Amino acid sequence: MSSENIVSVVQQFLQSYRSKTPTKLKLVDAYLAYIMLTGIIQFVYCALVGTFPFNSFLSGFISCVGSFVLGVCLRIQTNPQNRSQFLHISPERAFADFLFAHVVLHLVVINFIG
Amino acid sequence: MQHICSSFLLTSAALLLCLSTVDAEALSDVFSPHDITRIRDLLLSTEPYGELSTPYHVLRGLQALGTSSSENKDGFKRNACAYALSHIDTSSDLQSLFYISSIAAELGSSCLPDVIKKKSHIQSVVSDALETEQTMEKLYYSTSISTNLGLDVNSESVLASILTALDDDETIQNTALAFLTASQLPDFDLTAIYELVEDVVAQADETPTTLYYDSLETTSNVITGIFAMATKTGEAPAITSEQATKFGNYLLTNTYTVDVARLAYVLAAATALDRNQYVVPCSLLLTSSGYVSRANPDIQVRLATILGSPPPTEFTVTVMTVTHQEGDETLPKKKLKSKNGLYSYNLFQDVSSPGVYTLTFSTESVGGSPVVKLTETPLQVTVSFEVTIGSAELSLSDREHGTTAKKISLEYPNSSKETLEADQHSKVVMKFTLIDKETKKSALVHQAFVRLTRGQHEIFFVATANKKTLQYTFELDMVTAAEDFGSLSGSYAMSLIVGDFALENPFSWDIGSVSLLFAGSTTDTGDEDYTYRAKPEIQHMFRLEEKLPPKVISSTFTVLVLSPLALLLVLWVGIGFNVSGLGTGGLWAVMFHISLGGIFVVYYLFWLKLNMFDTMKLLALLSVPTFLAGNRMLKRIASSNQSAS
Repeated sequence: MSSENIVSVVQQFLQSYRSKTPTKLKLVDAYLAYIMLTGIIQFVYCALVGTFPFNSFLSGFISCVGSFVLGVCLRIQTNPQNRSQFLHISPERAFADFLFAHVVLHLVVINFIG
Repeated sequence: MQHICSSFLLTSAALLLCLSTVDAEALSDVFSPHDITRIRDLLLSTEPYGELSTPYHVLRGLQALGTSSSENKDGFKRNACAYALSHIDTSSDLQSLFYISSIAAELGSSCLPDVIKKKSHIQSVVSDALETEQTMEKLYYSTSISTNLGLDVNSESVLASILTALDDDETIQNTALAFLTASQLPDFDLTAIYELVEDVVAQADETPTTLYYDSLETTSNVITGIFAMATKTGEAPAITSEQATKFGNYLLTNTYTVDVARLAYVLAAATALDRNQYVVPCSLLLTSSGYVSRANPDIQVRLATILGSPPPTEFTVTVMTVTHQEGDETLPKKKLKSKNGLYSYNLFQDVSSPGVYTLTFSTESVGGSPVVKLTETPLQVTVSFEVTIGSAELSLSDREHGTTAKKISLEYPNSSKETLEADQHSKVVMKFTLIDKETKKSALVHQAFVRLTRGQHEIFFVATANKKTLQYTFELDMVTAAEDFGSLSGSYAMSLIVGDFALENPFSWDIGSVSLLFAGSTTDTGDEDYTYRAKPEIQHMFRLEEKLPPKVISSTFTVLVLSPLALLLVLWVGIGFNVSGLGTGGLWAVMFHISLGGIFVVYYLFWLKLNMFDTMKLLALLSVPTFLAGNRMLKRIASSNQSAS
């Protein structure tokens, strides 16, 4: 019973996601999933093999975490449902911020990677 | 009136002289024959002269030292005279003429007539100088010139001038010059000046041993002035023997100089103290060595005045006290016999044990003598002794039970033929006594060491003495001493070293050898090599690389990390990824993408080879087009979106 429930809930969720979420947000979600997976794999490597070289691991992992956070921010700001909260921030402005933050983040990451 | 005054002075001076003999100390030192030779040689070798004062001081110093003939003295005199004569015509000041006339007077008939020939020039200079102002210095110079050249001096007017000059400026130096000037005046009553002596002496600076004025010159002039006046007037000066001695001590502190003027001042004053009729400071000198032993029991002392000469009259010398360093005092009060001015004393009459003794002496003149009487003058003498080994034995005992395993009797000065063998359960013990060779009594010394040597290794131990039994013991515990020996077992040569500052025969006795076997003993490395040589070169070691995982794993994970990118592309394609927006952005979009790509290329280069500064410069360059293009592109997209909606 419960498993059926869960299945139906998931099915409903996926359906509404497919139908209601704008394409742009879906692209962002895919990007977020990619980032998260990369981070997880790096972490698994670190847990299995070892932290050496630690600075490289850190910069890679921080790059993932940072990118993920920035992606989430982009998604929040460009979501039409949050439009009321970000009236003065257009999606283009949000994307520009996203790019600028990335440039700064990766300067730090590259500096740290060694 | 004047008569009463002078008789009163006479009485008080006599009274002072009496008082002065009560408590007088000896001079701290006297001129040694070596000092006098050194100074005479120095004075005779001062040619050529740089200025007129130099030959004056040289002659004054030599005169004080006495006229003992010197080989080059004739030549020296000629040179001094020629030098003085050559300066007469060019000298128009009193001081130069004073020097010239003094040199001539000192050299006497060989020089004086030539100077007297220039009398008129000299007299005109003198009268010119005295016309303006009559200072004490000018009076001294002019009077001295007249005396030196045998000219007439108007005593009465000079004396009046002296008193006037002193009234104007009564400094110590001026008073001293007044003494020196007045003493040159022919028969005249000098009481008015002579009574200043007590005052002047009272104004001297004082330390516990010396008496002096602000300069050596002043001090010297005061001393010579006082005694010149005393000789002139025939009255004892108002100076106590203690004061005279202290003046003498001050002069003795100034003998080590090469300045002829200072030497002349010291010598002139020392001569005044040495050869006067009233108070002659003296010292008691030890002429024998400071060490006495039974074989050589006598000490010898002599009295000497400041220039090192014997006193003019006979003296009795009495040993008052003999005090050991540890405080034992005897009071022999023995009068010493004199032989050629040397007084001998057999110290062993009154002492027996060795050590440092302080002897005090008193002197008494036989008949009247100006030489200061000494009371309680101390001298230090060391009584030395000889020791030998009384009995000595070397034994081996158990370190826990104390039972003696082996005993060897030793006989000084022979070495023992037997060898002790000590291991970690035993103790090497040596007991010995030292006896005084003369008294055959047990004695203690300051230093008694046992030395153990093996090759270059040398270990010292102190033999300790029992203060009651006077027996020395040396113990070598094989366990506690192992560290000192570095646990190095083997045969060690053993010797006993005995020393003391008062010991006449310090010795080192080769006892024999002992074989030491230490617990956990290291192998005998033989003689250690102490040669210095280069140490092995230190190679720099770089930090070791961390262990890296196998290449397979690394590569796998590289692929794994990159794999989500493929997933992303797949997802994006599935969702409906397109690049149609590029068209909207137009040229700006192309530009933007190129410059953004450029930024990431710079990052890549930064990772590979660039430094932060170059990176920042490139970034600053690229950021401008990126910003402009991005701004334009997004504006267009926004406006197209707006128009679409």
